[in-house]
Amino acid sequence: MGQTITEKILSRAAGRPVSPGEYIEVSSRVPITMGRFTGDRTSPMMKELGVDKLFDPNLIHFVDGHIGTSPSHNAGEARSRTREFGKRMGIPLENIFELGRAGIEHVVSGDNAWALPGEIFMCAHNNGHTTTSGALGAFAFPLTFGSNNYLITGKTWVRVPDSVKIVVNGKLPKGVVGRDVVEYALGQIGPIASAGKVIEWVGPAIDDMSIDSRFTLCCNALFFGAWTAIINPDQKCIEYVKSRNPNPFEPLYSDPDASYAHVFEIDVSNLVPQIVPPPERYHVHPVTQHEGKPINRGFAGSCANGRMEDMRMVAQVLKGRKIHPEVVFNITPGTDRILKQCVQEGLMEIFLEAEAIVPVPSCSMCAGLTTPLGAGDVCVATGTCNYRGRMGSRDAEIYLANAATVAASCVEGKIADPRKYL
Amino acid sequence: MRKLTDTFVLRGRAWVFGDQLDADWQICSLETMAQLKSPGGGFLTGKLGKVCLENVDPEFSRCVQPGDFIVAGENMGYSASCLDCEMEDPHAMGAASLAIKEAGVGAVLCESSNANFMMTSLNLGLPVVECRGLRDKVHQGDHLQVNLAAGTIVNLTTGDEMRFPLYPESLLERIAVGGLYPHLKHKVANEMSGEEQ
Repeated sequence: MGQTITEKILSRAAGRPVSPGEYIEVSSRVPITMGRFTGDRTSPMMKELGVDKLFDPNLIHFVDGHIGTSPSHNAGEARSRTREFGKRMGIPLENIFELGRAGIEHVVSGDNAWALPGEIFMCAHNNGHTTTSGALGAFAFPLTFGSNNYLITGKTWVRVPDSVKIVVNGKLPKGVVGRDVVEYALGQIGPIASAGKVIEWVGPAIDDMSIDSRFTLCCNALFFGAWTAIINPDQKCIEYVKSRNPNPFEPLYSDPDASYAHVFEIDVSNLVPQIVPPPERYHVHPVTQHEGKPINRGFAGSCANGRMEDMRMVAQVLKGRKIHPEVVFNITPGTDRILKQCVQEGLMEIFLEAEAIVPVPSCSMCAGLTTPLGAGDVCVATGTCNYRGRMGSRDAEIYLANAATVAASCVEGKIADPRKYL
Repeated sequence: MRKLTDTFVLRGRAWVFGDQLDADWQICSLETMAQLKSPGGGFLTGKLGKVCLENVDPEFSRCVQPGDFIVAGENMGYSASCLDCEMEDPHAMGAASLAIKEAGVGAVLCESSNANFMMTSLNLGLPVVECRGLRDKVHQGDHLQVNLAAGTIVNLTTGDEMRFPLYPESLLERIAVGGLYPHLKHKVANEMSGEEQ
């Protein structure tokens, strides 16, 4: 019996062949990311335990990007404490990704290809979108409550998960991207079949898909109830990684006769842009079902869709147009690197001419950290979540969609099918 | 001294819930956490038991007895928020698991569970047992006996017996001492006393 890519990665980490259901102890040789607050939790824990060293300061990467420049959560003090903690623990200065060289942690991780194919990639907190890096053929998950233990010991236990294969057949039509595929699949499969498992995305449409869209697929694994998601690394992926990370790696791949808890097949040849109305995360409709619904807020960004592909789609729609006078449109590039590229490619000019606003790279409006929604606001967003209160007021409505749908809706002042703009 | 094996035999009543009891709103909502913290509320540890499941069954935290079981369906502990945490408290990452533990629940029994919820709960010393077919054999208020070391659930009310995959010994040891950090504390203390000798 063959193995899935997940079973192979975990077997290599365990030093012996492992199967789903086994509990094993693993560690990783690639960077482990921490947010700005993680040190705040780690310091008192270390004091309590009487330890004064981290397992390997060189592998710890602080990314100060979730809140960006937003004036909340005692940000100033937390930044100082992070610096102080880093210094005390001997974390190299170049591992501290402070504002100006950062962005959303999961997008920064992808930008730098820290999660090498065939490796285990972890974050030392509980952010469910750490799975984004699974797009590079790594087994990526958050350490959650076990974070401090890992930072001290360099080891964690995991239960080898079952895999769920989602085969995406067909060729994506124009104006339909990874975001639509992942939402459509979620609507079809729901949040139960993948509970506690790893989703493996395969098929011709995945092979054709950009790395940016693949990140989107893996970013949203948690909404399926899945632990994480992963994509077998193809040539496109290998080249992407090599161009961003000089470290050597040995990719792993699922065997053709590997075993899966479930196999789902979808065909995307006739897929239309998808939309997720509030408040359930897994009730998904074609955008055409909600066309014409008046909106007054838009957001393009987040770990799901704050990448160049998304920025370019937004620009394609906005070029030569102004957004609707009743709409505030917040476009937040996912990282400083992406922001710079937006400037270089002339996208920033298009955004500003269209009268959108562009906050610094961060989670931004997705978590209500910039331009929060007020009561009665209706927002179309590429953010990750649509539960009540996510982007501000509990009495606002959040519709989730791809970047082009968001831009087209902001131009029209109502939910719009973007395909006529592309 | 209690024998280690005694730690692994749990007895209590069943509190039956449905599929997808979520960590964002139903078990311990982000809003409730914000209310408990402000203004100047300090850490959440010690406060979550009283609000556990208040959005599903307001009587739960008052009526649950120490050692009772939560019996849930599929995808127990689902989270769609990615924010289930307390910013400063080193002990309160995974508020849903903490709320259940603080309510006095002896173990969570379910058809399937969310991986992050399961890992966090076990690391907190709260057993999460996945057992197929459980829901058909357990009703609200049934008296159950769960043997973690033997991998069995006995419904003492009906006589039904169910089996679940065993935890490895290393995890049982952690559960026995109250979770990952108490276990690490013992380990660090032992290593240090070893060095001194």
